[in-house]
Amino acid sequence: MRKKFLNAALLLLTALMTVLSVLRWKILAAAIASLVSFPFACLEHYNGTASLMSINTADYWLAAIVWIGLWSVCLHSSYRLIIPHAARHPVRFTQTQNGTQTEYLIGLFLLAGAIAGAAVAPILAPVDPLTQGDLLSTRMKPPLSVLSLEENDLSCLTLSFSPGVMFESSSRYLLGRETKYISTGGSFSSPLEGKKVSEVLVLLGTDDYGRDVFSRLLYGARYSLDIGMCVLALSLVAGTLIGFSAGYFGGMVDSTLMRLCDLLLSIPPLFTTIALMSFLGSSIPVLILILGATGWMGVARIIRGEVLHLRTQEYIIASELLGVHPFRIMRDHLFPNALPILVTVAVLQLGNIVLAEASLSFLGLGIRPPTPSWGNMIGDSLHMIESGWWMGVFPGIALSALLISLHFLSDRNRWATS
Amino acid sequence: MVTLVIRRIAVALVLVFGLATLVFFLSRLLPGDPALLFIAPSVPASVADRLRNDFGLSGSFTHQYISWIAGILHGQIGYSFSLHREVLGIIGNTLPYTLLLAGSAIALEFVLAIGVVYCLSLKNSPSRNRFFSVASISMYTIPSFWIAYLLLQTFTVSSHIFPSSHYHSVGIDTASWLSRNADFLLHLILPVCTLALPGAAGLSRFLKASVDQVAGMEYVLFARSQGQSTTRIFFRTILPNAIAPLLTLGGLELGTLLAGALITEQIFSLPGMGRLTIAALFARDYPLILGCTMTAGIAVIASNMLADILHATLDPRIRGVRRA
Repeated sequence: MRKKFLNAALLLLTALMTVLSVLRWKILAAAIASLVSFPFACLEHYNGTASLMSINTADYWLAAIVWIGLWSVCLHSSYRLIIPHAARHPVRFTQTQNGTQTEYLIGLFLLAGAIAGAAVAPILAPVDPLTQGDLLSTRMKPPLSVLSLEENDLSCLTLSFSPGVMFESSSRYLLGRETKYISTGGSFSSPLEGKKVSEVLVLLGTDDYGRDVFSRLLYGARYSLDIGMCVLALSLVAGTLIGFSAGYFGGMVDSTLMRLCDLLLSIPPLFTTIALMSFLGSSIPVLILILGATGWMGVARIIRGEVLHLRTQEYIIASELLGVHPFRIMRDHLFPNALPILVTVAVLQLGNIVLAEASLSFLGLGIRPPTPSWGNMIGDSLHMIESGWWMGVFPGIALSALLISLHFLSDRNRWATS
Repeated sequence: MVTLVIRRIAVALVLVFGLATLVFFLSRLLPGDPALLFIAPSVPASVADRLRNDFGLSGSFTHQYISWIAGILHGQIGYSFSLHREVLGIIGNTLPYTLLLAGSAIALEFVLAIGVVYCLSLKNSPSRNRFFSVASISMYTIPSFWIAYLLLQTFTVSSHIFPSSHYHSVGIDTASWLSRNADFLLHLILPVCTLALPGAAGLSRFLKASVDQVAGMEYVLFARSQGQSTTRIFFRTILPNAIAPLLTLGGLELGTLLAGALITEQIFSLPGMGRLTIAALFARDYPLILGCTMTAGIAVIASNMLADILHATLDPRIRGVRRA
């Protein structure tokens, strides 16, 4: 039953990706062409290399690579499902051992979906997340309505396919999205008159600034996950170091560090964050630093407990008696054995960080608009709650789904390790 | 018992002292002189000096630290320059609102958790337990502002059952005592639900585990063999034994609720510590921010202490264990 469901889902996903690949062939082709021609463009304009490359372009490259990778994996798996005699070996990721872990599978798929969605955002997003278009016609459109946008507003890598101009225009389209501002030309009187207009289906509606909610959702996932990963790395490194030294050295070191931990935990984390923000400001790097500085205590406590438990094991005592250096004991014996619990903590911690970032952005303190983030999308939609439910409901569903899937994953890990 | 209470209080006092030190270093070691932000070159020197004095920025580092601690002992945390009042006075005015909100939320959490676990204990089926497990994890993880959004969408925008903000309707002051209080309760329901729902989900998970453990005890079997009803066994035998460890959790819960109040009060435009903190942040009112942070910390420390003492009072077994 579940296997059939999973197979159907796989086929559906493959079909969807194929259709989308056909619809968005221009972007895919442009991204790959720019990736290929980048070295040549660099050679041609070797003294101006810095201006050839922008973050946006790299985004497109990454997105195209991930997209094609995912697509080929899907095609490969469904090929085996469709062609009977190729299906001798069942698809691997639909194979599950026991029948009770549906939550784990759901969590895994949702998390993978969020990461993949964030990675391929430039290809999947129909419109740039900041594009407003003509506010009179694009503002507050309900889901599944059709917008008329200028061709320039679609903001994809543009590419002319006549072979001669390709190298000449390479430096222009390498600049990615910025080209659209140059070519718009600033005529505000009758926005769409005499322009090349194309119709875009907005899947999840537009917000009160006329921006596509679906595109913002995809780009918002990037910010949430990027910040989450950076903060996770910071707090894991700090928490592990502190937890290890507290648990291993014991005595004064332990009691000092743990009292500090207790002290920091006694203030609700959101208050500490806000107090620190008031002194340091709230740019994204500062946000990462602050969330990292307030997030290591939980990790340190759990790691310390685990190390205290491991220290009583015979093999640790034996290596201590042999005179092995403490650092080596930590690296070779304690760390590998504490790794499973570290993974569980990390997954849970990622959820906490994403939630903290979303809460701050919701309050208007974290990621500032117009940069999209799931938190500030919900926060901004609150004052429009009577006129457009779609602006807050969809980011909320995405955020809740991500958090719940992380909890399912860590729950399953906890069972697996205990 | 007395020793336990004294020890708990001593630990709490040490923690509060540590908190005050931490907040002091937080405000002094971070870059920038907060006073400079507010002293324009045109300000007379005497006013500038008074501002520095208000910040506690005059004198040596040790002197500043001692005067900061002495100030706290005298109840002077600082002077808020966005509201032009003593910080302690402002907090004294706003804290009751937040305590009311958090208190009703904790009460609702316990009621909901006990209700849910009682319903589960009536019939022990795997499918029910599994549904409970998934539903409670989901409820516990969903961000509170999202719950608030959904509640507002359902009960205010779509059906106009509950008011969306503030504690009082406009013009209710002239109404009778009864309708004033009814109005207040009606305003309280949505914010309290927002705060309590995730907490109740978490609490019910712990209560479920605790109840399952107690249900296997011999005295429960004895009560059952006496022919007592399931309801009576649950409320008279199982619950008193199962709920004691959860009181400590209730103490920890206050920290979560204070952070939650930060968001809830903002959404529902309620007066209280959370909204005060955010207003202070946007006004760059450092003394007020530090005061709010200190208050939140002290509230958490105090509630942990009370929960420990309450736990020991209700469960005589703890006292023996702690002393040994």
